[in-house]
Amino acid sequence: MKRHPLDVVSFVAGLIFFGVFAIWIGWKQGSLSMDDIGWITPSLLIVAGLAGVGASLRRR
Amino acid sequence: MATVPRPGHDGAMSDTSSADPDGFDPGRLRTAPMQMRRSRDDRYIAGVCGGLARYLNIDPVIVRVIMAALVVVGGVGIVIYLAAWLLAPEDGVGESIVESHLPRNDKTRMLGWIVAAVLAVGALVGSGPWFGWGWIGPLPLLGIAVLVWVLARPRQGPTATTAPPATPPVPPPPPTAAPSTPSALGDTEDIEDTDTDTTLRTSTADSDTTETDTIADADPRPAADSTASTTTTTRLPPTPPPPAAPTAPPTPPRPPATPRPRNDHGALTLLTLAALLAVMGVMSIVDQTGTDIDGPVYLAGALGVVAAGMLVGTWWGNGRWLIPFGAILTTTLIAVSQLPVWKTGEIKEAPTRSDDVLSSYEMGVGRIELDLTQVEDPAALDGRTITMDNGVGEIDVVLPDTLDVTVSAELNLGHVEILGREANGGDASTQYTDADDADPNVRIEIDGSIGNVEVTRA
Repeated sequence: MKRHPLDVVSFVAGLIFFGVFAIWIGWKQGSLSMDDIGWITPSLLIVAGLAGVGASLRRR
Repeated sequence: MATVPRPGHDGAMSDTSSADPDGFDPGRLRTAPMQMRRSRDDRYIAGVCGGLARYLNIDPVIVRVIMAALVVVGGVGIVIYLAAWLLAPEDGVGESIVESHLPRNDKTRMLGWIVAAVLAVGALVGSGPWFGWGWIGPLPLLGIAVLVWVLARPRQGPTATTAPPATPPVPPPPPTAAPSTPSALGDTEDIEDTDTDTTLRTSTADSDTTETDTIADADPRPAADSTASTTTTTRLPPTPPPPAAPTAPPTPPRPPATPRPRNDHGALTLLTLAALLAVMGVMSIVDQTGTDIDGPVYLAGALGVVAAGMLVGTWWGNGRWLIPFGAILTTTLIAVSQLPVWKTGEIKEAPTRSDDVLSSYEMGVGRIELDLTQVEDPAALDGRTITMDNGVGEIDVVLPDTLDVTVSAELNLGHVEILGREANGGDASTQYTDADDADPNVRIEIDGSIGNVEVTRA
């Protein structure tokens, strides 16, 4: 596998999946309440979206 | 920690020209966001503190201490630092990182700071009682940090990232040019390619001489053109460039060698799935040897591995094939997490003594049936609370006449019927309280996601 230019699709999707994973672990451990998840999940999407926008712009 | 000698930076005019050597001017705090530059010499991370200290004409240590303190306060310091990193140009550089990625606009930096201010306030408010976020608090900020890193990276690696795609096209032409040129001559007429122009010209220049004989005696049709060119070359040996120029445009036979940098022949997908199997195996062994691992934990573990694989695929190999796996795992994980317990089947109890009545009955997917009519000493149940949770399925409770109840049932979707009181559809919640009298009173709390809840009297 050779290094290639940033793949935005993989990046954003990976970020979201990793976020879901992290949030779930937090919830399972009891560190996160449903209220926490209520705002963490949207912020995850915002972060992933911004990251995607940023990465796309960077490729231009 | 010495402040940076100012004369060194001739490009950094805005923050040096008006700098006042006499000391700190509070008025400069206001102009700092728009005017400051990141220091190139006095830096630990990106020169934000060093640059700000220089602009304000104070000791960088003060700035660093304040910044560190702000990091602790809801992560505000992180927001400010990252914003300055992105928005303030570095010494000797005309534009900031953000400005180099966006269309040039005077408003860009101002807008950036407004966004940063909103984020900072959000972080502050969101952190509520300062450490209310717990360990997860910095996560969104971590995400922003990742974004900054991604944006800031080309500073070191524009040549590294753009060079590989640019170089592969160069080697292919020489080998393909020699054998395929005669046939390709006809169909590829004018393909413009500025990158490879020079290399192609040279390659055709030296292959030209060999091709002309083969064309001449093998193919009669293009002979007219090629003989014309051969005659010119033979007649005018001192000027080879002119004949090479007209033949250059039709030659670029590059198409089959399209670079596909992400193509790894499924290596990353296989690697990730193999790692996933290994992780599942390890979890299974742990499960067998005592520590119980629920089904959802397996799913989460799998999702973690897939996510890691995709993040690797951001730069190495092709991670896109993992998206469906991730999507399925995410959906399943969320669905399964709605269940109160990881258990399927049926709980069917008809206790005969009040001691045998549990305070909690839980089922993941299945059925809970509790018959209290057989209890010999219902009076002993007075004041007790019984909770019943079922993720998907049915809950049935049968009460004796001699027992008063207070029932509260919450069901996300389905049918609830409590002693004649009914609720249907989404968010079906029902309360029921018996009239107060001498009978013993039991509280029953029912919770479910999807299904059917029924409380009846025998």
